[in-house]
Amino acid sequence: MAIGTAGGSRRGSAPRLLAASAAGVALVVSAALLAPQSAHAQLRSQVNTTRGYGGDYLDGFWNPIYDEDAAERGAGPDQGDYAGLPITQAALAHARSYNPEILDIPEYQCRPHPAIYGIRGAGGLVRIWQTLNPVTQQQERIDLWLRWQQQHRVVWMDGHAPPPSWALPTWQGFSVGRWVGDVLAVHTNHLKASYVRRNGVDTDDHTTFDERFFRYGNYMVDIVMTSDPGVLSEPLVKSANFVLYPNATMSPYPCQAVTEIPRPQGAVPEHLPNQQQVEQEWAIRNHVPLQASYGGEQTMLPSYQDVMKKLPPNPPMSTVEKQEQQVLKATQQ
Amino acid sequence: MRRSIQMTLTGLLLSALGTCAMAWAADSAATPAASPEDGPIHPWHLQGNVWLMAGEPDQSNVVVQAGPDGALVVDTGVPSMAGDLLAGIDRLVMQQHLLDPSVKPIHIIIDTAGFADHIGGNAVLREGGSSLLAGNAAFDQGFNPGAAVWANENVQLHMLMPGKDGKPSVAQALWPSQTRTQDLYSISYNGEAVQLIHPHAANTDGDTMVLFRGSNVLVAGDVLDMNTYPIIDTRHGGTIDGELVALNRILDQAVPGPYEQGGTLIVPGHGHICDQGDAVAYRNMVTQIRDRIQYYKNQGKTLSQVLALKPTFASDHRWGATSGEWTTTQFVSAVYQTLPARGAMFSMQGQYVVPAGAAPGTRGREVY
Repeated sequence: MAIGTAGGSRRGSAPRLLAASAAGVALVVSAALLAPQSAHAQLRSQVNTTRGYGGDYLDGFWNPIYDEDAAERGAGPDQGDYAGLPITQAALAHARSYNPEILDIPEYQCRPHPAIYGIRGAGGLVRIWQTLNPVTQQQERIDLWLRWQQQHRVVWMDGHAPPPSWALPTWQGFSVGRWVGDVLAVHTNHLKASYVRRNGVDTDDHTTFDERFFRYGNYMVDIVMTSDPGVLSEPLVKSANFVLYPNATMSPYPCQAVTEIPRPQGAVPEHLPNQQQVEQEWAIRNHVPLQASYGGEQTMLPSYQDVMKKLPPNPPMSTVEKQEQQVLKATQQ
Repeated sequence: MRRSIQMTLTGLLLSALGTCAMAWAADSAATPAASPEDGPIHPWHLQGNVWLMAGEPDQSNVVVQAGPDGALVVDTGVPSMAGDLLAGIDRLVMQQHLLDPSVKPIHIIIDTAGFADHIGGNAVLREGGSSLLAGNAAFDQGFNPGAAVWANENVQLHMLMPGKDGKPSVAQALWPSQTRTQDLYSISYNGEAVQLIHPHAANTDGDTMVLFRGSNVLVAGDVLDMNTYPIIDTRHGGTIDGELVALNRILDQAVPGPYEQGGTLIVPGHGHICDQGDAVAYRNMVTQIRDRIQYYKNQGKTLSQVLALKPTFASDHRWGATSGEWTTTQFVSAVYQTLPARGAMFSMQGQYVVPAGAAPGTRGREVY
């Protein structure tokens, strides 16, 4: 779930989509952040840990619970759905030029999700395990392995030296972690340019994010706070929920790029300034004011419902479809 | 223009959550502070025989291929760092390959372009090196012309162009000693194939990219720049379509590792090491800006009108600059200037769209 976006259908009515549960979500996140102070002593008695904090507290296979953020799962989000995301005008401009056909280019076919997205993306099963120093028995690292495109993260727990600024950035970045009570706190940087949503809301290679992993019995919550000043005017806070999945097995995920659609060398599918009508379809179909669909930090707040009531009505779908046909005809000439 | 041949978090406060944000910030895992970026030059092993001589903040990247034959150096940085660079290279080669300390290991220097921050150490490194070709006879006679300095012929031609004082625009000590005209020139050095690729008219018409085939490292020069939009030096033959040909050539040469990470390492002219994943993101960004400007130019818009439409707005936060030696305005102007009055663009489906009246072959590899 994201602050400002409802945790259910992405095709719901506008008020429901944008702000119905924003206040509730804020309270949930607040409670989750503060919960370790009050609830964990009780919860720990329900958890089968052998070494307590910093031990195998998170070890095991975890299955994602798909009852939130439907837009991020499966086939991914609709074009034009940026509501509830605190994106900048520059990020919006980039997103509006995005054409999902770019995912067909060979260089993107085996690209894994970045660490800022993978935990709530179409990743499937997650395996977490720790490695202890054989001499001191202190925790050296915690590994996370997400099935889709074999996303392998390492969270260094031993003060591992960071890479220098000139080192190759990676999809999973460089993560350092520490235990705050029985909550795993992780900071990650040195990421490749990637995305916070699979519809053109792209980040750059200056992105960082912080996480908190909580365990509640057989459930785990990862709260992810992403910062990228050029793309996000405020940090984007998301959560992902998992349930323990004992005795699971994880199949490999081999990938090899192929020619899906023959194109000229160097082709970059995109939407030029006159080709962005498709970005409006989602808002019109779901009765969301166009202005609201463009996102921005204001759309995260419950008070934005009042603003939405005063926004101008959307053009009819027939008008947009007519424009699309004109553009298509022009490009085929 | 920057480096021309003329020598020239937000805070992490979560305001909506009030006190929670403070709790979060207080608990944040500390960002590691220690870094090797604390001295003049640091050899950073890339792959195989190839090292990055890192440590010149915001300056050009220098690459060394080291082995029992000696050292091949790609670009020489700025003059002020040349002494440290020479000492660092000598130390690296001696330590790695236990060469005789009396040997001057640098034999070959390759300039990827004529930009001042790529050739500034030519004189010091040439004198600090030794000739591979002069042989024993030359040493016996006490004659050492120094390391060979290679560049594309157009680099030297531009250096020879007279300045306002009528003298060559670049001091002779920085000139290449051998020039190349081939699109592809290959040698074997330190036991691996080394290929010099000339992409015609990218940043300039004298660019060279260097591929170390055994080590799987490609030195791209300023064709790939992780600090800024690519420099299109129109006075010295640079064009936006040539730049895109060069970027696509990089993608052709690079073989990604599993899951699009690692594999061929690509050294940009400035900034962090890349792989194909980083290079394709850069190529995409440059392509989209190029097509947007072509789209406006096809409508007959003037440069002033195009600048007012801010065709780079979506990426300026990462790549743009309003001051300094290579501004966004200079970049947009160079792109506009080197595009045809009516030219092709990519369509929504990624196919060419050639408007009526467009010049033939105006995109990508079709140019050459």
